[in-house]
Amino acid sequence: MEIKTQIDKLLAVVSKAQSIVERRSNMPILSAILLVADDGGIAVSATDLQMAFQETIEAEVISKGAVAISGRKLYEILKESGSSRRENEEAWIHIKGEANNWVHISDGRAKFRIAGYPPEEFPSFVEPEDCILVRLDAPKINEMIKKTIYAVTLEEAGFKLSGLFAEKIQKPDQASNGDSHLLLRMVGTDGHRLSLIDKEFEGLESLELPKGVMIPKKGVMEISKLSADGDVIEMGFKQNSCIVKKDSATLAIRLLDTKFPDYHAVIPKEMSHRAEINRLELLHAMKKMLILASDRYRAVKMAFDDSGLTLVSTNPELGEAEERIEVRLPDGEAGWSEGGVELAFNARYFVDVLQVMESEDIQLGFIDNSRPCVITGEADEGFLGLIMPMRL
Amino acid sequence: MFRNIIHLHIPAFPIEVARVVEPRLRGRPVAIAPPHSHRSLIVSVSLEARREGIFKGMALHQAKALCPHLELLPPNPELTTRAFRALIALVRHYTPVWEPSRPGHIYLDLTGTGRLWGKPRDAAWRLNREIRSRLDLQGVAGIATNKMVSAIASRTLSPKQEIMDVECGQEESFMAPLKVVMLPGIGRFQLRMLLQDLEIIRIWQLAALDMESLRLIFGSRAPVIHQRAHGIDPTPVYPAPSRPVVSEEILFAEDDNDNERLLAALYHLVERCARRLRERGAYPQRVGLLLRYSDTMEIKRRMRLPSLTYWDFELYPHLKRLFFSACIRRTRVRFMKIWFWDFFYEDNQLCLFEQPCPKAEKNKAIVQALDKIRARYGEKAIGYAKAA
Repeated sequence: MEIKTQIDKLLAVVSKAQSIVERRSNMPILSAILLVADDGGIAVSATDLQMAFQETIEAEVISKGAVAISGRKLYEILKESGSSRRENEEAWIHIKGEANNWVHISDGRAKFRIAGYPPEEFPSFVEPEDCILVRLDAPKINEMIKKTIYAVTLEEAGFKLSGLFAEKIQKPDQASNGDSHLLLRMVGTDGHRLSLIDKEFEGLESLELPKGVMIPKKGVMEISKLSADGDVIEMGFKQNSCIVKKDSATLAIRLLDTKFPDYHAVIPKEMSHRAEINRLELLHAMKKMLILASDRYRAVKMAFDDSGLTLVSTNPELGEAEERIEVRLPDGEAGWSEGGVELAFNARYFVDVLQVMESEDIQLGFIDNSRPCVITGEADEGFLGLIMPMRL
Repeated sequence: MFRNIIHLHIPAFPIEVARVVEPRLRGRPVAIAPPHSHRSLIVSVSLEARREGIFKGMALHQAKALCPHLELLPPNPELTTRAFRALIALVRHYTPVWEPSRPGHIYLDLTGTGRLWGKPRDAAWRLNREIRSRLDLQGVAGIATNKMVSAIASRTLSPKQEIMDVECGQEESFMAPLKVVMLPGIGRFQLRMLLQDLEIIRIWQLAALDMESLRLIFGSRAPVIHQRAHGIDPTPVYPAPSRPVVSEEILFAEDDNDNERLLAALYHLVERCARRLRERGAYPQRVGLLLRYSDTMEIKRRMRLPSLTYWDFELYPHLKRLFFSACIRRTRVRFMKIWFWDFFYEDNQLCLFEQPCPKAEKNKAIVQALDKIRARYGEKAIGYAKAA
């Protein structure tokens, strides 16, 4: 195989692919990126067996064939070759496969001769047949992921929660009687907190998603990267796989086959207390409280009374921190009971949720100190965050 | 910078400790061996017994035949551990860097303490005097610039000597006339090869061999043996680990190999540990179990716990599995110890998805009730029949 292509183009694809390659696998080939040169250009592929990525770019194909080369090394070579060129200079890279899987790479100045892997050992990219792909609004998908992924853990907290749950739901239309509209819902949780978001999409009815599916966290991150730039992505589910396409890039993700817990049961229907707070004020106050937090002392006490909210963080090894914030009561809400309400939360959880929200003011809803606090915001349509309190 | 290492050694430590408790044993030939079997092996010998021809590892019936008036004592690890703790409490005033190697043996790194304690020889003399006056034990000390030479120096002392000081630069000449058997790291097979096939008896003969010849005998360990034969040992004095551990142990009144009784004792140990873990709010992530048999052989097993818990009934199945992986001999068990470490402290964070398990909840309620009763009426007030 021998090709010549622009560094920028190849670097953009390889940077996407190299985040998928497995660095600590006992199968060395999984740390490689496969380059296949054909009439249409070169196809760049990477896989960790749970996820596969492929994208084709234009290139001058001198001779057809394939090479498999360490993803990390190829990325570093392209990055350094791209940054070392002069301004307005068009940078090209020349890649040639040699005998015994050696790969020769040259950017016109530097030459590399790198030991590659046998390309025939690279796992084949199998895309499920008859997968119906639906065109979805990419920024909306990106927003949904951004607002839910923070709650997903890689650890197993009783349930296998290392993925984002996605499902289609019918929501009754509040404006008209009896009508309902279809929404895509994403839910993330680590067992202590939960994030949920609903969004309406055109053509959602064609998406084959009869039951909810769990997309692994790593896969969700890749979908987020694909949808970050551009207007539309195509998405489809088939045979325990999720297929995402954008332009000439294709991502296939193996779905988790674990059961997502019944999250409906933990979302409070009625609230005993509600409070309206400026999001940024609360975010900064929580960040200050975090300064004194440690692995053993993570709780921040939140005391609500008629004059506002007092945040107190106590760490016997370091000291104490306290801040007062103004709180408004929503319309129709009675004042705080005698002596106010006291709850304790992990400040980190509050920081995470407040950072992804966009509303200027947020609403906090409580029942008691054994049930979750509900966080919503007007500008964050369809979003709901839950945080479980800590024992005082 | 040259180091000043003292190897403090109380010869026949368990016997010396027993003599403190029972002064009538002083001056008499004493040995420690597991009782109940005339085939059991001697684990510690006093100087007087050694003079009668008795040595460590000798069968009990042979020892009795050699010395009919030999005083035999059963091993008492609890007493030995207590005495060793007292010894450590005394030596730790001399330096922050000390390493307990085994009961009765401690390395002290006195490097840089010259202005405080004077020469290492003076410090060792003061230390020995303090041990004698406060613990009624007689210690010996080897002083050198490294751990290996200091340990060997403490073993070469005659009964009336207290201190052997190997000065800096004299390590090789000190080691040279000693027998190769004194050198650590030489296995039984290699020793036979040295003594019988190559007729290498003294360390200087071993030191004279080139690396190629050493490699033929010791393989990849040849460079280490070469260093040691020249009196070089770069190993540092490792400070004692200070990781928190919750442990419980039992020395059986009579050695036992009945699994039912051993498991009952194990459950009792788990109960006691679990109660302490609950008091601390600590979830252990690792657990270990040690069995010591009648013939002093020990088997140790460790495992990582698959889930965070401090409830007896959840910890016990893992310990039971460890027990069966360690209890693989027909010999009777004398001593059992369990220990938990690598803790994760509970942070009072509530969970969204509690999975109530009625049986587990019931068991937790029972254990909490037992805790309350024990806190009020004492440890032995109540317990499970299976742990009796």
